[in-house]
Amino acid sequence: MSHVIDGEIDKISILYEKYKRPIYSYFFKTTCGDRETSEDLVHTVFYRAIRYKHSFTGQGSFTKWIFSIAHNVGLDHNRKKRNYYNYESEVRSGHSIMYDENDYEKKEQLASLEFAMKKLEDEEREIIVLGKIEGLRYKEIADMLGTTEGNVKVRIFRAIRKLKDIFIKIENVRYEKEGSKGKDNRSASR
Amino acid sequence: MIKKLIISKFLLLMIAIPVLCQGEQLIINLSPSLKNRIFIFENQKGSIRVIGYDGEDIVVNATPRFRETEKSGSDGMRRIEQNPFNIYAETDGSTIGLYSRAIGKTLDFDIKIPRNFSLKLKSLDNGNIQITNINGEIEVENANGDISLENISGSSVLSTVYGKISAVFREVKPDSPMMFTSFEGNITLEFPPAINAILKMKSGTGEIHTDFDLVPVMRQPVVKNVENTKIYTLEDWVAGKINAGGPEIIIKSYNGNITIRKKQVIK
Amino acid sequence: MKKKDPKEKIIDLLQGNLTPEEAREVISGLEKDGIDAGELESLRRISHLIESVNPGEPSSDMDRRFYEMLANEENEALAAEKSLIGKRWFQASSFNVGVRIAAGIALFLLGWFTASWSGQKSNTDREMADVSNKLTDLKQTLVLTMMQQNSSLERIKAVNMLNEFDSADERIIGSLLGALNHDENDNVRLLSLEALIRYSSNPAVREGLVTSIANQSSPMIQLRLAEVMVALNERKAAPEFQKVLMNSGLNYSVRNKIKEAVTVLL
Repeated sequence: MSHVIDGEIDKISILYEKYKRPIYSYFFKTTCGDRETSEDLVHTVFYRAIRYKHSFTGQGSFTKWIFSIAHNVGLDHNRKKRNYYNYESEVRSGHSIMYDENDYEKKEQLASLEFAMKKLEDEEREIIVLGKIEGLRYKEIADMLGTTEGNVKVRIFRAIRKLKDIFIKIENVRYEKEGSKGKDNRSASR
Repeated sequence: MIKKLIISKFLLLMIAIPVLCQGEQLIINLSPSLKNRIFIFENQKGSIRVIGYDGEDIVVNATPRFRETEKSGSDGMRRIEQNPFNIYAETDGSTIGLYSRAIGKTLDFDIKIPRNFSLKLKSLDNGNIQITNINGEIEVENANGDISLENISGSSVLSTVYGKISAVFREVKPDSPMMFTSFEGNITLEFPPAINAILKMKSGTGEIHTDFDLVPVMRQPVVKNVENTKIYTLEDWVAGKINAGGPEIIIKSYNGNITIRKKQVIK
Repeated sequence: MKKKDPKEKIIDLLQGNLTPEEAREVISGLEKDGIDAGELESLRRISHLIESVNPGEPSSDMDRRFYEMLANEENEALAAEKSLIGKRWFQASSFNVGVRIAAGIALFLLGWFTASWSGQKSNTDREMADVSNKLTDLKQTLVLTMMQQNSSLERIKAVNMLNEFDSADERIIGSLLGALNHDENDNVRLLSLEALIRYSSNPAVREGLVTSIANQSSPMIQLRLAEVMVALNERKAAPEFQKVLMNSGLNYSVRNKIKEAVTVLL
């Protein structure tokens, strides 16, 4: 990574190839499937990475550095975006993302989950996504967000719990519609 | 780190009657052990002449093309030039860059340089670029002026807008592509008869001549067949293989003739 | 010592990072907080399900934009440093980079051959395609790296190498468009234009070519663009050419050609 510090821009292309998908996925999930915005934000991230490569001090992993930039880019984006509160019902309006799952039930559940994710606050959704990024440790997330590792874990827990509650409501509505019998309220999946 | 390797620099004052003529000389002392050396120079206005020699230093002479006409006052007062031009060099080791601060002045440069050197030269206006006896990679861009290479061993990428290109290669670096383009001007090249290359040539309004035996190379249609798109053949270059074929030598002139000769070996 | 909030441990629990003993401890601690085993199980399943959420697939545009931006940044940096010879020029010895990557390709090939030799059944069609993809990928990376070199000869070599690819992916196209718009050497620009013409059936390339019209000052390139746009019958080029015609310093042959192009395209 010291090559980046030395200013060899050609090395950035190697880093781009390595991180473009994880960063794209990060935005894709936190924007709930907005492809165009996700691409724009990825572009912004690497633009900043090139311009501010000197901010990488060599301390800590590169994953943390690039995701810090991504986190900040996301924050800037959210600030600009006007918040329309969606008075959507608890009923899904249809699939927004297509899955290639052969298992019908799993497909339906994922669609419900994705819908439930939309209902979370931006910070809640983000912390769940961050927690699932491969190679990014909780301690690093904590540094990025300016808090402690313990706090990160508690926040993830709370977000997942909220997500679970919303998910169950949605699934119950789906089952009622599909006329399935005997679904236990408590179990989230078979 | 940028080190200044200016060892000596002295102002040449040649007092010639009746005008005062000022030139400037710069000698750059080089460490002979360095390999892959590149010399870079961009002349805003004026010509550049580079001659390779067996010495160790780079000797730069800069002369203003237009002399200051000066009228001596009856009281013996001469106008002193307030803005002399200033030439200096910077290097980081194997790359040596020459710079001149001469706003608006047309300066002609004569440069003696060790034979084994790669060159990157540019003139924006008002000058020809001439290079002789060099062994290396030569990159030249000229706008208003000719480019002429003589007794070169290596490869080159040359382009000019209004000007002729003439290049004579004693030896050609194998596996090295080359490119010669001029908008208005003839291009005349000489290569050793044993060169292995593929020539790709195009002249807008001129003619192409060569005494090499060219084996024609199949021209490819450029745009492949796609639904609802016609096939365009935009590749209308003349392409020919010399000897065993090899890297591409690309030559293009819009308003000019192209002539490729076998270099005659002088016995 | 302050007792840690058991909720902190939940994540580790959900991930399965705790020993059975630790897990039991955490679960009992949570039960006191009103979180029972059933809920824990739900949470675990949700946490697992989240991992299957669609990660999304970027369009081919994203790569193209990045490589164009990279080429632009590189050329801007070069232009800004014109009067300073940076350390970079010395380090970015084109020969070294080319050799290193070529060595990488060679080693990779060696590894593949070794695997086949040791008698492993690796010659399935899929593996072959995979290897050939990897090779193309490496080659593309080599070409892209060469496009960043200081020596225009290296950049010309890179553009020539592109003729060996049947189709260019968005990275290559981005790099070529970047060169066409920003390269300091007119010969490199011209060659990039010729290379891009090959891919002109790609709408992104055509769009890029139209946009590049405004960035050219070399008569050769302006002329060639006019020829190409007429051959492709690209109407969108007409307004761009009209802008160029307003430049009084335009070479007369180029002016005529562009006027002709505008007439044909409109």
